[in-house]
Amino acid sequence: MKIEGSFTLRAPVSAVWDYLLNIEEMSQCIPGVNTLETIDANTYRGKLEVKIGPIKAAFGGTVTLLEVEPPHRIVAAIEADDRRNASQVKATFISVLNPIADGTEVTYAIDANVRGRLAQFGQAVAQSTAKKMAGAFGSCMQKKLDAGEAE
Amino acid sequence: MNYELLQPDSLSGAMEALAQHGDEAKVLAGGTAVVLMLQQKLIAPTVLVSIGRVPDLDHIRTEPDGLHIGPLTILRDMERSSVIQRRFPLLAQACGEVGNVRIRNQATLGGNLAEADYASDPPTALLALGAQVTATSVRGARTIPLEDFLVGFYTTDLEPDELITDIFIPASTPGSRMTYLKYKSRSSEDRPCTGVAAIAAFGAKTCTDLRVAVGAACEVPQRLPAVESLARGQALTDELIGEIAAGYADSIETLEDIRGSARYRTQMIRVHVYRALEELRNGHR
Repeated sequence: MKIEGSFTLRAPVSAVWDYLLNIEEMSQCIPGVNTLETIDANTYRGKLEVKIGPIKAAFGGTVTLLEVEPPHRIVAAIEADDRRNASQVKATFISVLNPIADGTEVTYAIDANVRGRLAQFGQAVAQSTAKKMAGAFGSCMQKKLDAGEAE
Repeated sequence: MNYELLQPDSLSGAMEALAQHGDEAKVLAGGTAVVLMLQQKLIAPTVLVSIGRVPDLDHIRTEPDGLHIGPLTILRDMERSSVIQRRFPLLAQACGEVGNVRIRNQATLGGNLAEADYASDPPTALLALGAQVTATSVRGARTIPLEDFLVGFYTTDLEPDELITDIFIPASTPGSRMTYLKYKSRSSEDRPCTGVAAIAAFGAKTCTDLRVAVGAACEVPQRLPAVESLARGQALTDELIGEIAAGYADSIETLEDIRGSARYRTQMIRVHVYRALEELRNGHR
């Protein structure tokens, strides 16, 4: 399934880029991420919890940075599984930063292959969940960027 | 599946069980949704609170201001109730469209609302009717308009300790015409690809009130009061009906799933809102 979206930040592309590439710091803004450790320069291991109504999913897995083109585009591969729900996700994540009049537009495109019990929820739920998470991520990031500027 | 089954025989017993176990508990009504989720191990509650033994939760009671329906009323009884058929025919229609007769003999109206599955028929009809949900807990009771009750995918405004104890439908303008159009894109027993519920009241020649709800094509059923108001005081001409249908098709952010793409659903909303209003105007019901 393909999930796409975008949000805007009131900060220059370079500041957004620096923040995004500070993976451990950035991950604190992703709702549901509770651990993230650096394996090597391009590989990270973490856990993500998502709640959809009564259903709780807890994915553990790795994120590998495949392409990093500063300060513009990033491509990552995600592999994760949820043991309790017997589900696996393999996804490619592409994010592009575009300069706009008063800041930066962050676009994201995820091409995910979900297998197992959670797969039945499909495109509609995944798209909506991703949109809500991106919204929360964007506002958290804006706060951190504003705080960083003030320092 | 490792859970404790509680079967309280009173409302207070059910509410105490929910207050005690909160988020760890799951309410079991008809079980058509919960048992599937348990079997698929999508949920793992430590306590199941079956409310089947709680008395007086399956009422269909007429009052001067409207109709009160108990949460344990099965969809089959909704479909066959003469008072619902007479006063709120679109609700009988919508409940009669769910799954198949075996499901309707088991699934309850309260369970249907609490599950908040977007691909369902009764919530769309209830939204058009202006239904209100009463949720009760040891902390007291509160009444929630359905549009605030349905929050998102499989998500309601219910707190973990709350139980739906009543669904209220305010009386419609006498002589109102109403219809529910379910559109299925796959098999005859399928869940809806789109659902349209429409209610109209008419004066001598013009429409005095219009309510249209669209569901299954979006995360939660939606009404668009600004578009509905286009009909007020107007004759429902083909042109006006087309304008209202386009208003719904253009404004609702449609979703994509196995039953149809977002783009396809937008077109199906246009077609079925048009057909529903045509039916009301021509007085088929």
